[in-house]
Amino acid sequence: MSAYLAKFDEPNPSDAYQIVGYQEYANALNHLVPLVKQADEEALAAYDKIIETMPELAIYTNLSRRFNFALAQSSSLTPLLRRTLSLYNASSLKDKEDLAGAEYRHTGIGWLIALARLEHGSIELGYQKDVNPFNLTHLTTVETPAFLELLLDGARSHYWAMNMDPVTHYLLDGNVPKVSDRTALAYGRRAVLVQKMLETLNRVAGAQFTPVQKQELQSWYDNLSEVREGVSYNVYETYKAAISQQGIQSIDLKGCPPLVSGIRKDISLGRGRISLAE
Amino acid sequence: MRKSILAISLLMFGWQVAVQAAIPRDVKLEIDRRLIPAYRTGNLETVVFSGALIANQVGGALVDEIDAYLSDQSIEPLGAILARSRFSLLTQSKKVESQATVKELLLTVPYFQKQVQEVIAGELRPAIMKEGAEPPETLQGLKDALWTIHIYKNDLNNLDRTASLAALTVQTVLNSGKVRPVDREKLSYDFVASREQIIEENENRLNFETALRMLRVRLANKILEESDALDQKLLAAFALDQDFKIINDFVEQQRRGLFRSIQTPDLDFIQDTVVLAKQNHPRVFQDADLLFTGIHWWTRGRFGKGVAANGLLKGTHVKRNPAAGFPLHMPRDIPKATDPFAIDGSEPSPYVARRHEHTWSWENGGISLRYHAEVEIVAESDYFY
Repeated sequence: MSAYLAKFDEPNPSDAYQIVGYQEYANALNHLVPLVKQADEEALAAYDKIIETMPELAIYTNLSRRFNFALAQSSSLTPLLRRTLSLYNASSLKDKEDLAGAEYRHTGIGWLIALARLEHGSIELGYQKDVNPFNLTHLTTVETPAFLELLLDGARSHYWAMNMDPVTHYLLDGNVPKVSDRTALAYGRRAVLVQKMLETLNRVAGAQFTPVQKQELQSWYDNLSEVREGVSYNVYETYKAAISQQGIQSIDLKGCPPLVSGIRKDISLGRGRISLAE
Repeated sequence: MRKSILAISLLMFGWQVAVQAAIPRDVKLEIDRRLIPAYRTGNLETVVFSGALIANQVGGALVDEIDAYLSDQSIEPLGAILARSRFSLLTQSKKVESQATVKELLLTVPYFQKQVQEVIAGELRPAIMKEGAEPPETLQGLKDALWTIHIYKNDLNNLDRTASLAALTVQTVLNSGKVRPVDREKLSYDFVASREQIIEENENRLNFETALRMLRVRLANKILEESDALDQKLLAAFALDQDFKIINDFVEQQRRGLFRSIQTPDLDFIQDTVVLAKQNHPRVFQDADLLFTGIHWWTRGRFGKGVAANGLLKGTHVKRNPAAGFPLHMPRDIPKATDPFAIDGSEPSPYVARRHEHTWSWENGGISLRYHAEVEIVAESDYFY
């Protein structure tokens, strides 16, 4: 029996360029951020007035409405969904379900920049290395409230979707046969993305949350760490099976850069050592 | 009363069963399981594959029943969706696997023919271009009118290409000698001759567009000089910049010998107007450029569709050349963003509420195994979970 330390290729940064929105939102930010940085109140009002007349630029929020939590009847749900509904109902960070539909609609230059920052940053986090999440050094005053709302909205939607998804639970339970390595890595990418959203929320607006809400955000973060551990476990187990085959010299891992670096770190720290059969 | 309602219900129900039963089970399954989902998700390759499969399997009255069934699902007739999908793939320079057969052409040619005839008859001509229509008097009105003309231009260009492709395909099939005389007649429309009329209509459009742009240059300049409203000045500055670039390009093309039949616009007047306006309002021009260019890119990010993964991806060619990723499929008309959870049965606009809700699931990761013989196996997938 000999010890084996896995070596990893760097992820391919050009993958991000294949995703629609990556270049486009970057170009949008490169024009709109300098514009608002040098704008006074009159200019900002003029931009908002123009954007208001363009119906294609409206943005709708409260994405968790898709789950119809407000209308769900507990009796007709599977145990997994019933548990999720119960957790959602107890959440201090729920969607604003009592609003009329029209109030989910937002327009304005701040919303435009905020959405571009969120979408571009989310692709970057999943597919690029050495990323400054959401490029906060260029976060502008006019977009900040919208950005925080979009961030929380996005994180919340991902979090509850993951909670309702059996694959998340297979990963948490270490049920390797049920999840392929590629699927596990994709789920790991999602967990990384949502954690970065939560970290950013805490960094920019930590003081705005109540202690109860902060505690809940922390619990979301911790739950996502468990999902990442499940992904790592899945990958280790897949390694073991693969490496036991004769003649394999090296194995490379490709996936979400922060996730890969986390797994690499685990292995280098001896937490994920893999043994080769003689 | 109750009896008569019951009788009518039975009649209607019985009729519906009769219609649905007429479509063979395997065709019905193909429609439900492949054609309709592919149509709804914009997977054109599958629409063509599945549509051609059905078209080659059925004929006569059965096609009408399939069209009625599709209509119940708010989908156009089989010939129309097949024709448009094939054409869209060809215009995207994408290889269409199966060649159109005679049976398929008998379905699609009438669709192409109808479109070409509509242009020739002026039915597709925008109202603003029709005789007696008053030109718009505001920047917004001119912007809307120019957008309508822009769409008409795309429609004409597409129809021109449609006519060429239809002419070529039909000729190939007719030359094969496998067409029955009765079908030969159905495929006899002269697409080559109709192209001339499409080109003529396009010149008509160009004349109209140039006149509208000249009108806008004058109005925009007036607004820049007289208005106190910054939003109007920004719109005016961007319009001036755009019109100058477009008319300059057009005059350049005329210098190279194109569009000779169209009156040359007064480029000197426009150039002088724009230069002076920029001298007087440099900041407005700079800000207008940043704002509208930024909005342009934002709109592409929001509504643009690539060629893979239901529009979420651009394709692997972009890895080799990022600049190749700029062409995207955009909505034909100016889209209106709608509530993604509105319960009115309409297609969501944009087609995904947030890209970040989907892009994480691209399974591009995996484990690659390298054997001692240097054989590499890469477990990668373009499949979205």
